[in-house]
Amino acid sequence: MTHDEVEILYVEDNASDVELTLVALRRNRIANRIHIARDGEEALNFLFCRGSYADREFLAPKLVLLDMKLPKVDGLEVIQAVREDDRTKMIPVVVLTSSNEQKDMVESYKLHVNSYIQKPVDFDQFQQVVQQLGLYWLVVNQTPQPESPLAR
Amino acid sequence: MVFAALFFSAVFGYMAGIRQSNPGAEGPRKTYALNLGPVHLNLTVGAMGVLVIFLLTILLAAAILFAVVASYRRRRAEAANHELSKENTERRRAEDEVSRLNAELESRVLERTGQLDAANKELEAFSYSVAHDLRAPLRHINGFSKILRDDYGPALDVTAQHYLKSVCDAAKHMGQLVDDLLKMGRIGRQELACRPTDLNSVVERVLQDLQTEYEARRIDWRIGELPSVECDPGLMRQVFANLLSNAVKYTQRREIAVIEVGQATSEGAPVIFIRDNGAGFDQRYAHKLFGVFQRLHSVEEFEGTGVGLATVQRIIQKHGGRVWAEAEVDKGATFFFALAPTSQSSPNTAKSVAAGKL
Repeated sequence: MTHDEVEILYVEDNASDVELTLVALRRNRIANRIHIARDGEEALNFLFCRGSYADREFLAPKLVLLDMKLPKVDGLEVIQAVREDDRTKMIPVVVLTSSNEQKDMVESYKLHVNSYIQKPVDFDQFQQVVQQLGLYWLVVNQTPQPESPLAR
Repeated sequence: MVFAALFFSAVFGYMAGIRQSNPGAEGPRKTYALNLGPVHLNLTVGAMGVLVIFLLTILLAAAILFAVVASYRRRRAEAANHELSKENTERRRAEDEVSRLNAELESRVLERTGQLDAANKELEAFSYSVAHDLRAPLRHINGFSKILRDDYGPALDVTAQHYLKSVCDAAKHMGQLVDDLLKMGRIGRQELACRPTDLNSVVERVLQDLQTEYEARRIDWRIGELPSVECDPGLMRQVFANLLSNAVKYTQRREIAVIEVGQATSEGAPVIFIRDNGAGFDQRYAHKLFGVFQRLHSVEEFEGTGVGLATVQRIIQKHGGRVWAEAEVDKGATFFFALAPTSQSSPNTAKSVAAGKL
């Protein structure tokens, strides 16, 4: 897989969460084109082809799955940076987090996040959530071509 | 004083008489003509002296009287002024004291508010980190146990599978506890957004929400006419959600459950009640019912976290009301709540109450 084929950018710092989410995605057959960033800074470097991703050719992923509490650059800062740039502002961003704190939810929606999901404790429920999420954002949902002049 | 004046007048008159009589000893007796309009008096020097002395005496007496009165008045005015200025000083001192106390109170209020704010922030930070960090390991325990069950279950014997299930269930239960606690903590910090609320429509919505919990059951719902009250509709929904889902839960062993919601009076005040014909409880333990994590049934009998009724109580108390319950083991339970008297805003309250029965 090259970076250009990435469908999902998954931003998550916790290794166990990454592992569990990957299992859930794999069991729902949507794990093949996913890139994992372990903090907000890496996520933004990946998206904007900076730092260790400087040689990557810019191509927007179909979906950003984002945890809220991240080292260095947190989830809200990632959403803000994504929404501020013309190249990335239309990428669907789905917050996938432990917390259902109103504060996080309100701040996320203020920054025009597309969806906010609290990870259920029960793994069976979590798998269902991942399945619905993958089906909806990768198959059902349509996004404009970034190069379309209307998208600017 | 008057005597002194008379004495001096007399002395003065006598001296004047001597002075006038001395030249008279050599020449003819001198007389003075006194012309006072119609009265013409020819007075000898002696008589004139007496008259002058008399007049002077009167004048002097008048002057003295005037002086005495003036001094008396002045002294009274001075005393009054003194009294006034004393009062003024006292008043100013009292005012200073009041403003000093006010300032002190204000600074104390500020200080306490600051402490309260800090405590609230700390609590918020605490529940934020509970929400984020405490749930995550639970998710991992549950997740990996379930992967183990799914992927390696067939290789495990019955006992191992049972242990694995216990691990999953425990993690899930603790997740529920954390969520319920957080919800309750949030209610404590939340400010009431009260407005007139039709309780019948609140109940209707709650029953829609709970539908999945009772759709496979036979329940005889008896929803009476409820008043419109001044309350926070979102929180009131949580009250009914907790009480009604409890009623559904604790009647699960009844072939036909009867759940009644209505209005009644208690000690002359309107109350709302939710009655069921379920498992009930021993009235002796009624006081423990509303404590956090307090349960009167085991989790095996009826699942739950013991946070629901504590949440109900917290919401009702926030509205200035009270909640209580009456029950008998195996004969059902009735939960009552009354809001603060001012929250009764329905014009048909009196009629409904009269129609209600306990």
